[in-house]
This record gives sequence, C-alpha cells and structure tokens, in this order.
Amino acid sequence: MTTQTIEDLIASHPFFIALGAEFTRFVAGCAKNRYAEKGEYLAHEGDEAAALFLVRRGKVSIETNIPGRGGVMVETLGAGDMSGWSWLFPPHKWTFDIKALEGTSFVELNGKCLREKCEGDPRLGYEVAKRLAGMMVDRLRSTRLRLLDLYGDHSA
Amino acid sequence: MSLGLPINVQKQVDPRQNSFVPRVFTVTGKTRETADTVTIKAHSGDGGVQLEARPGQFNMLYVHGIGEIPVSLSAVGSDGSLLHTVRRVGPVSKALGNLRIGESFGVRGPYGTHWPLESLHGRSVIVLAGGLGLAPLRPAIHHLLKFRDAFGEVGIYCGARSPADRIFASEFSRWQREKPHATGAKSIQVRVTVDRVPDQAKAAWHGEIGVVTSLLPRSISDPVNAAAMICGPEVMMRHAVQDLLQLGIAKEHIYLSLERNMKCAVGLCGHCQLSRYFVCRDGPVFSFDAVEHLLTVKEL
Ligand SMILES: Cc1cc2nc3c(=O)[nH]c(=O)nc-3n(C[C@H](O)[C@H](O)[C@H](O)COP(=O)(O)OP(=O)(O)OC[C@H]3O[C@@H](n4cnc5c(N)ncnc54)[C@H](O)[C@@H]3O)c2cc1C
Ligand code: FES
Repeated sequence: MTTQTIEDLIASHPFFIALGAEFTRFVAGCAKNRYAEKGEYLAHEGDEAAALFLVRRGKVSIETNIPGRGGVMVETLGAGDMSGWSWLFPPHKWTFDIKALEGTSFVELNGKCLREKCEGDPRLGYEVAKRLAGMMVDRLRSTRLRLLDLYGDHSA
Repeated sequence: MSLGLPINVQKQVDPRQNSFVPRVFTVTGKTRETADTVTIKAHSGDGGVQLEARPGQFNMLYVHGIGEIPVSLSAVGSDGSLLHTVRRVGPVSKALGNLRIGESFGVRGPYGTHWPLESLHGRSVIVLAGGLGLAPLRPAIHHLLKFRDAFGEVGIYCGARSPADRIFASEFSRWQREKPHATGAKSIQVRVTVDRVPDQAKAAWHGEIGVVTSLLPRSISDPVNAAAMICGPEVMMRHAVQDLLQLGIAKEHIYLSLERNMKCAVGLCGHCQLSRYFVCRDGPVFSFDAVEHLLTVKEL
C-alpha cells in the first residue's frame, strides 16, 4: 500500500485539480490531514475563520442555530466538496457552523497561511480566487434553484 | 431481445387502430406516496391482447364526467397491471387520486417516445430525477436493474422537496442493493437529496440536503460512453443538462422528458406543440440536441 502525501491529497481533490506541482507544494505547506468524528464541529459560527476544508471522505453539514429549533441544516457536503471561504474575506469570521455528520476525513488548510501565500504570489492568489469564485457561483446557483421551490405545488 | 413491457388491453380495441377509445380499467390497489401523490394500480379485467408499452411512455387517463389527463406509466406489474403515480393538482388529478379500489376509469395509450434503453447498452448511465420526475423514470430504472450487466456504471440521483415528499422511497435501498451478475461490474449508486428538512424529520434524515445536480459526480471515467436520462421540472433539467455537458456527455446522449398540455395525445390537435414538434407524438422523451434551441424560448 502506498501512503499518500499531503501534496497527493491536495492534488487529487477536485478543488485543486490541475493546480500544478509548484503551487500544490506551496499550498501543502499550509495543510494538514485531519479526521473528525461524527458530531464533531469543524467550525463554529462567529469564531475566527481560520481554515479551508477539503472533504475527502464522509459528510459534513452547514448549519445554523435557531433559538427554539436547535441546529438547522442548510446544506450537506461530501467527498470532493470544499468548505470555508471566510478566511479570505474580512472580518474573517465563520458565518455558519460546520459539523461532521459521520466520520469525515478532510484536509485542513490554514487560512492565514494561505492568505499570506496568495498575497505574496498573485499568480497563486488568482488561481485560488478563481477556484473559490467558481465554487461560489455553483453554490449560488444551487441556492437560487432551491429558492424557486421547484417541486412545490404552485397551483394555488 | 424485446425490452417492451407487456400491457393488457381490451380484446376488441387495439388503440393502434382507434386511439380515441379509452379502455375501462379498475383500481385494484393504491399506495400513498406523499401527502398529495398516490400510485394507482389498475387492471383491465378482460385478459385482453398484449400491447408493448415502453419505459417513459404515458397514457391518457379519463375520469368519468370530469376529464382526461396525460400520466406517465410508473411501472407495469408482472400480472399486466398498470401503475400510474398521480399528484393531485387540479380537478382530474384530484378525481383520479380519490378513486377507490373497485372503481373504474378510462385508459388510452400508451403514447409517445420512450427512454432509448436498448441503444444505451454498453454505456454508463446517469439517471437524474426531480420530484415527480421519478415516476416516468422508474420503469427505466427497473430495466437497468433487470439488465444490469448490459450497462456500465449506473448512478441514480433523486431530488425531492423534503424527506416526506420522496416518492418510491421504499424502493431506493433495493435499487442500491442490486448487485450485477458479471464479475467486476459495480453496483448501482443511489443518492437522494432534499431541499429542506423540517425540524421534526431532522433526526431521521441521513441523506443529503441540497439541489439534485449537486449529487452528480465531479468527473466520470469515460464520458464518451456515458448517457443520461433526466426528468423533473424543466428549470431543473436545463441546469442539469449544463452539468452533464460539463462532465463531457454528448448532447445526443442526454435524454429528457418534457411536459406540455395535451388533449388528443396522437399528434392531431396541436395542444402540445413545441415549435416543430408535438410533444405527445415526437416526445415526451427527446434527446437534448433535438430540443436544445427550444428549451430557453419563453411562452412555448
Ligand atoms: C407526458 C406527460 C406525462 C405526465 N405524467 C404525469 C405523472 O406521471 N403524474 C402526474 O401527476 N402528472 C403527470 N403529468 C402532468 C399531468 O398531466 C397534469 O398534472 C394534469 O394535466 C393536471 O390536470 P388537472 O385537471 O388535475 O389540473 P389542471 O386544472 O389542469 O391544473 C391545475 C393546476 O396544476 C397546474 N399544473 C397542470 N399541469 C401541471 C404539471 N404538469 N406540473 C405542475 N403543475 C401543473 C396548472 O398550472 C394549474 O395551476 C404529465 C403530463 C404530461 C404532458
Ligand atoms: S395533444 Fe394533440 S397534438 Fe399533442
């Protein structure tokens, strides 16, 4: 069995696919391989947003706490998804909770480290920003489709 | 090999000869799928001639004194019974949904084009269904299960409004469990997502939350040899097609089922016209390349 390096894990994740060896090495300097047990929180709303998560296996939920209702799930993310962009945008605070719904393997990239590398090398910064923007466009489209409530009864 | 599904029809009337004469069917079973959707099982009761109905085709269902609407076949029983899954939205669908066991209604059909399952042999297949769109896809899924070894990888991706709005939910695990006979072939992947989970259903829901297109794989190993069948709200299908094209699946291998208001169902009245097509006759199943230019035209 061959052990995958953190660079391998980053290079094979859809978010960083075709990033190139040089940038992958660079980004890997901010990364660690992690595992969260079911029920463990990866992020808490309002805390400093210090990470980007690349989910490799398992499932996480994006949720928020509503008084009287508890944690309300907005979306689930699984293998191949990424989560966390607040580390790039002031005030660098998590806007939702992220919770493991099952045992979840993920790569955690330190947000501050990544931000500094992106600012130090605009080519890397542009690559990362492009990927983040693409992912946000995708999430926005999904959210809009869900807002349309397409499966609801619109005959009334 | 004939992949058509046998359907019993009245002996004297072959709808290929007289498309306007409904046959009388009797409700022999009802399954409540969701709060507003019911699957009606019906028999012709006369042991009539066998007709070929194919996955994706629809029938015109007539409720005495109320009216007639198109409804897809959601399955054909081994005993020749017809299964239609009906969502109560207006007078006819409500009347159909309210029929009791032993009561009768009219059926003419089957009509329209079907999912081109035979021509997909050898290909990997993606099935993407939104809401009630799973109904016309269910016979196709049954075919994929029955002839599993004739296909490459198979992924079934279903979206619903909430866990309680899933139709055929009890079948999902059976589809997932179905193992191919050929060695090395993969089992079918079944994934389900919902738009929202009400608080009281939170603890019991272990599927995904999000739009159905988010279930699609990010890449597929051999897109040239893949095909997709989609059915659901048209907006959902337009977005799904874009994602399938991104995966590298060719336009002519993406099939979708369209809905338009219908009256005659045999290409005569023009009610279902979509530019140069009559959806009842040239559809409801179209390949995307045939209708691409029509899907974003307003008021069609
Ligand atoms: C080829 C084809 C296959 C179909 N298969 C099925 C099926 O398997 N199961 C099923 O329940 N329905 C199916 N339909 C839709 C079904 O025909 C309509 O829901 C039905 O015509 C409504 O008739 P009604 O008299 O009950 O309501 P109407 O009075 O005609 O309509 C009541 C309200 O429902 C809305 N409505 C009508 N049709 C639809 C629709 N298709 N989708 C959403 N809202 C609609 C109308 O805008 C109106 O507001 C299919 C339609 C086609 C063309
Ligand atoms: S319903 Fe009459 S032409 Fe299609």
